[in-house]
Amino acid sequence: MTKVDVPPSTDAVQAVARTGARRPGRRAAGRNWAPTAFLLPIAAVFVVLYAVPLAETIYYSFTDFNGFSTDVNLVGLANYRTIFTDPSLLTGLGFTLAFALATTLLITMLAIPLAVVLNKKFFGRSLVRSIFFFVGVPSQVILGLVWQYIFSPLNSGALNSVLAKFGMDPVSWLADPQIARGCVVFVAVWAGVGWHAMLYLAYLQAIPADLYEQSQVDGASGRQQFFHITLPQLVPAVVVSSFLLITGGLRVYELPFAMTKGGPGYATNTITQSIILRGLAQSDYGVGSALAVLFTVACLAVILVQLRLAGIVSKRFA
Amino acid sequence: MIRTHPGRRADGRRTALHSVVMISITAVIAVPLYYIVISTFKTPIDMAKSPLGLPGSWTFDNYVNVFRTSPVVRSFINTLIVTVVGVAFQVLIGSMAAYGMILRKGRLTAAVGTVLMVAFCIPMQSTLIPLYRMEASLNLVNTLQGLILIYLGSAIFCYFLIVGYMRKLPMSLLEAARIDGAGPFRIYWQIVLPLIRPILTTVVVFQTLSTWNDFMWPNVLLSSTENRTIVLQVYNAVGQFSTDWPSFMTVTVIALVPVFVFFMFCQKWIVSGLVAGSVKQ
Amino acid sequence: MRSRREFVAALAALTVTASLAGCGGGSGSSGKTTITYFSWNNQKVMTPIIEAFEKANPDIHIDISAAQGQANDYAQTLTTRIAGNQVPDVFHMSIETRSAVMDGGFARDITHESFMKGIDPTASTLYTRDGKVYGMAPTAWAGGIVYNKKLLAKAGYSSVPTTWDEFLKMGRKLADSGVTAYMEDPSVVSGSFGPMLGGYYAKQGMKTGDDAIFEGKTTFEKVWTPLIEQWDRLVSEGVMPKNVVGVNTDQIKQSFMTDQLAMFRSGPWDFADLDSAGIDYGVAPFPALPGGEPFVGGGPDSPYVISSKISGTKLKAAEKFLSFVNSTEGLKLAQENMNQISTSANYDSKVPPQLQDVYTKYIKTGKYYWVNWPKGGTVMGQEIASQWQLLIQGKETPRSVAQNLDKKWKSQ
Repeated sequence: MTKVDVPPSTDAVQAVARTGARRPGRRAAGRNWAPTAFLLPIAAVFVVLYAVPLAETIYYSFTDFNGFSTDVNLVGLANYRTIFTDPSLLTGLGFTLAFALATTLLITMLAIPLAVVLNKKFFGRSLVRSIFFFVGVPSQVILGLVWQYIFSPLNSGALNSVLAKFGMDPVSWLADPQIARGCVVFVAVWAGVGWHAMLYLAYLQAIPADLYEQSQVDGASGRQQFFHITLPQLVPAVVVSSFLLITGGLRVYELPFAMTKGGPGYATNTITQSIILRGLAQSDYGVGSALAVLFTVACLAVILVQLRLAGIVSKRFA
Repeated sequence: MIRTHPGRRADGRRTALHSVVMISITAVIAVPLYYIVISTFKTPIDMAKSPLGLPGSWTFDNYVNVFRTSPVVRSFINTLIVTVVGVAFQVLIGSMAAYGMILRKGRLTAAVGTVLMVAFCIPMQSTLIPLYRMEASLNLVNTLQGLILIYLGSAIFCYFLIVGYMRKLPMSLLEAARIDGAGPFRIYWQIVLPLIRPILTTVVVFQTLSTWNDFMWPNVLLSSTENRTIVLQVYNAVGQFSTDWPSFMTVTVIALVPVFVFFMFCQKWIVSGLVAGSVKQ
Repeated sequence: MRSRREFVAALAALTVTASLAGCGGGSGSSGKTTITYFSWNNQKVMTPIIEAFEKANPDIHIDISAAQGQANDYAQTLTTRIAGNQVPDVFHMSIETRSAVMDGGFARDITHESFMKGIDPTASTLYTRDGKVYGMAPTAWAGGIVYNKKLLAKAGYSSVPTTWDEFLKMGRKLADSGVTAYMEDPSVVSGSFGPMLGGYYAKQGMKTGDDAIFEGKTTFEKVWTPLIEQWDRLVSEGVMPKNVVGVNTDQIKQSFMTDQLAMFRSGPWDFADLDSAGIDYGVAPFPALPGGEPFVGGGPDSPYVISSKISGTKLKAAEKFLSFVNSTEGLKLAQENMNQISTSANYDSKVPPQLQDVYTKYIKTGKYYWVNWPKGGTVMGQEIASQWQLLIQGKETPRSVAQNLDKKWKSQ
């Protein structure tokens, strides 16, 4: 059990003194308001930074507001109709969903074995850990620009020159819609796998050693141990990690933009890019807002599904 | 550490194999980082001619130029202020909310939980103009306080990470403290916070990195040179028609050094912290 | 737990520092007038002009910010600031934002201001509404084909041919010799198609250019399709590689600087880098399409605008700034630092020698063109860039590209 040997800080003492927590009658009252008091700051954050702006966005989604003009008219569902008839916006939605799912699956599948390896002792382990983690640390804007150089489709591009040394033909990389999509996902996985491995590593170290010892006695192989002990023990970590991945993936913005500007054509266009582009750069704030509203609903749906799945998986293993 | 392998020699061979495989993978993984760092010691021509090779002649001009021509130090301090203050409040608000949620389960907390989930789904691009207008009406545009206020929004993210962990706390301990006469604030500050230190460390690292690296909000909110954050400074090297590539990379490296130090510092905590925290499970 | 108390103390100290830092900016200390300026060009190249101005006007401070990236990023940040009622005191309009800025009443009418003296009237037409001028554009830009003399000589040419067939023939020869013949950045509007279109309009005597399409009298499909078909030979005959789609401007320039690329679409903004690379290069106009004549790309630079929201000393300061920009000294600095060519009577640009020929034969004689969308500039710019990428990739045909543009234009 964790020791609690905290010397009372002045704030805490004063708080205790003020509420008169030592008297039982007041204490009961205190318990009633306490949850509310603790929730107040986040409620304020929610109202000011989320609810009010979202309400405004919903309102704008029914108007022809262009960001500049003070002359704002209600246009009904026109903006929503625009979205469903614009192929570039629909492609954006498709790529965003595919990106979120692909990065979530790939990172999860790679991070767990990586964590298992990084949990074993070997020469240079802390260096390896640091680098894996650190590649994802620089801003995505910078990483995107650097990878754009590496994935240059020119013969002189960094990766193509390496391929040439092995006698292979140059690849179109970012010039080909399908490969470009793959490249963006690849970079996201590259940048994220170390971080999530770290998360799994933390949980791995918390698996009681006697579980493994017991199975060793029972003659379980390494693979059996992985599937029967390690994986089930990691379920809580998978829930957290995949929640972060899917929400982060849906809201991806900077990485594809820095790498491809949404091209070739509209191949790597994301919804968040469209919201910014339509709403701000193209002074079509009504359409941008409608897109934002639809996207929020879509995110909510995806996340609810993810949580439901996580719940089922947790119950199955826990 | 966890399992005992039969046979020392097989063990040694396997360890060596691990080292070789992992270090070679890492070397490949780290190429972009190498590319960034090595470019800062090259001239633009050198960079164009051999992007991955060692510099023909090492130059430190890029660093000298960056420090001479742009207010890097000032940007640094700005970023530091925004990150430290922002993250501290995010974590405080998030952990308070998480504690409030576990204090009592009821319709109120269930409603709050759902509502916060909705908030988590709103992409920030969609509320850019409303938020910017609010900041403008509060006279917070082009101030670091305004930026910090926006970053408080991430408290909801912190809440989500913390609340799951907090649910696993031994309630008996909190109950005991309560019977001893400690008020909810005291319990939160003196018992709960120390108990959840592992997850706090993880959250702090995560939030520090994302706040430090944020580009979008500083770009929109901060218009004065003296208020710029370091990532904005990096982007300042990207011009309308062409990129000042070497200074771009150089500012990048300068911006990354403290993040790297911060991480090296925290790496031990993340790993050991969570272990210490989960022993009680 | 000592560390926590220290942490709280440090936090408090930082909060104070933060408040101080926040208050530091903006307030005009020591009686200086501060005006905000949202620069079109990046800060580094603009700084010498600002510094010279502040030196000449010690009572004025210019708080400069710049958009990072391309025209879209400028439009995006400008829109946000205007939407939040934070109109910069001095800013720039662009083809993309001009209608929103002028119709929204955010720009000050500067038709009769003294600082407009010497401005070329044709430079103002794009930024005029109902006879009132809202933007000052004292400089212009020009872009053409920048070519590597050594590589051309190897293929047996001393200059860039001026007809399309000859140009493509040379391109094929260059490609056969193992270098890339020509490239341009397709993540922005095609830098070559616009000028070549202009050359066609000029030769055919269609003075109003694309206006007939904009007004709905004809369509992109009818006018542009045969021209796009011609342009597309650039790709189909292997003169420009398909892979150009995944490449950015800087990479193209780097290939040119390392002798891997013989020609690229460029302009004075790249001269400094090319000089430092020690390349022997020349500048040529874009060749004539069948039925056209050689033309260059160009037009007035994005104009300076004074916010309609300011008055008093701020307005005076902003006016002083614009008259400095349109002065001999300001224009000279703009040329030295940004390679902007003065079209103002106040300064006769010393055109860089590489550009001299193109300047006298094309710019001076008005043989330059650019598609200036009368509305929806950002949308159309984005659409045309995407359509061109798909065309280069072979995913769209010249006709379908033109049809898609018609569709997009109708929805504006």
